[in-house]
Formats: sequence, C-alpha cells, structure tokens
Amino acid sequence: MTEPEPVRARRFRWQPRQIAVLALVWLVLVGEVNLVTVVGGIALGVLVTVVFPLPPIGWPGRPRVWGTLRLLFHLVKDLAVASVRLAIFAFGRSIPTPGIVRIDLRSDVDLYQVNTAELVSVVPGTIVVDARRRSRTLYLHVFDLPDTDLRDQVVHDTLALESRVVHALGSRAEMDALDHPQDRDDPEFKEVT
Amino acid sequence: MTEFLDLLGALLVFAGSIFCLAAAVGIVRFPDVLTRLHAATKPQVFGLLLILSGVALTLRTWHVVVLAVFTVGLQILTAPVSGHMMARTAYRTDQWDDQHASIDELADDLEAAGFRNTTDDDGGLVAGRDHLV
Repeated sequence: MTEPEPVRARRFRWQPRQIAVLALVWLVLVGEVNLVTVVGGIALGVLVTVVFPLPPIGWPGRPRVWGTLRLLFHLVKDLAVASVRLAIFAFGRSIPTPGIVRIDLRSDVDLYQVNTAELVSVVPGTIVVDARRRSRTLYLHVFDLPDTDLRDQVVHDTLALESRVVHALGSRAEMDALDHPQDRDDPEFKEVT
Repeated sequence: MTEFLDLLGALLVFAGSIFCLAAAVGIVRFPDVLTRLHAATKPQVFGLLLILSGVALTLRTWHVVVLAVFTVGLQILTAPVSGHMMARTAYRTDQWDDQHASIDELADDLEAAGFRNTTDDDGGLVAGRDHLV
C-alpha cells in the first residue's frame, strides 16, 4: 500500500554497524567470547545483511539518550497499565465496546511513523489496524471505547507518544515544531463524529 | 541481600505468570479477532517482561541479564508487527465484531476511497477493490 521505495536496497553493500550489532547479538546468544564465536558472529552478520537486504533509513534527526530513556520509561508504564486493564477485562464480566479511530500524525518521516505505530500497539487499549504512508495516518483499533468522547483522549495520547518518539530520535527543529504548533491546533479535533 | 533478591525474583515470576494467564484467558473469552489480539500482545509481553526480570534477579549473571533484555526488546518489536498484520487481515476480510463498535473511521475513509468492506448475508465478501493505495 505504500509506493515503491525510491532508495533501492543494494544487496552487497558493506554495513559495518549492522554486522557489528548482529555479531554482538550472536555473542550474547552463544554466551561465550572466543575467536570462533567472534568470527562466526561476524560471518553470520554478513550473511544476514546479504540475505535480507533492507533499504537505508534516512531521517533528519539523531538518537538522543534522554529522549530515549523517557520513551522507554513511558513504554514500560503504558505496558503495565494496558496489561492490568486487559487482565481486568479478561477475568471480568463486562464486554468491551471497540472502535476504530483515525490518527493523523504530525511528523512526516517513515521512521517516526513506524516507531509510533509499533509503540502505540503497546499503549493502553490500541492496535494499529491500518496505516497510510502518504498522509501519515494510522488507524487504531481501540479495545474499549464506549463513549465517543474518549476518542479525543486516544488522539491526544497517540500524539503525545509521537512527540516522545520524535524527542527520542528527531532533530531540534522537528521537536520545536511539535512542541509549539502555531498555525493550526489539530484539525482532527473538529471533525468528531 | 540474596534472600531479598530471590524473594523479589520469585514475586516477579509469579506476577508475570498471572499476566500470561490473563492473556490466555482473554484470548479465549474476548469476542472477536481484534479484541483477542489486544490480549495476545499486551499482557503477554508484560508478563514475559516480569518473568524475565524475575529470572535475571534470581540468577544474577550478566549473561542472563543481557539475554533477558534482548528477549524483551525483540518481543516489544515483533509482537506489534504480527499483531498489525493479523488486525489488518481480519479487518479487510470483515472478521471483526462491528455490531458492538462505537465508531469506525477506517470504514468511512475506505468507502470514500472506493473500497467496500461489507459482507453479504452469507458472510461472503462482496467484491470490492482489493487493495488501497
């Protein structure tokens, strides 16, 4: 459903960082460090990058330690809240009222959309049903949405998550754009059904 | 100190297994594919996180800690992907419980784009455009 990638993956590109990470994963899995495991890990890394070539991800920001820590903290917290709520539903008697909500993201980078979509599935009560690249839209299945007023809450939570993702990975300009939306205040708030 | 860590580890493993049980119960009891996916992704991942934290606290070796971090990280990265693929397929083949749904903004947008996502009375799919740009 997305258009073909403009940047094509080149199969035999030398990717030292990816290979190093894969070798590290291999060392952790094996659990011992010696010449055989290190060389084997590097060989496996090369093999994986050749067999599964991926297009390079370009984005204007850089990873940020503080933003990432905040993102992880909220992630674990959200995961806990979501799990407790679902556990109550699982053992309880009430039947959930689901709903599907459209979220128009404010940032315009593949990486942020993917990360937001990933993490929003962990946030309380939502799963991504569909995603559109061109308009940066996510469609979320909300587990329990008995009142359509709660829709605004879902939109707000998701945009806050997107903001945390951008704060963990984005550039200074993108963060400022999200922190101070001057010209428009979220058009989707007006078109509540 | 070691007793305290052992106790804490055991408690975490116990709490984690409760969440995994809740996930299993949810998968059985929830009404449709999409709500079941919620049970399959969140409490399951959280339960695993708790169990692995407990195991790491009990065994207390660096190898186990790093391995647990990797496992949880990969779970958090992969569970939403498979969940999303299931959800998308379930939605497009109308395998979800839209009778009880309060709003469905995806259906509105899909209709506007020329995609009809309704089943006839036999439950078969009405022919529509099979994908959306």
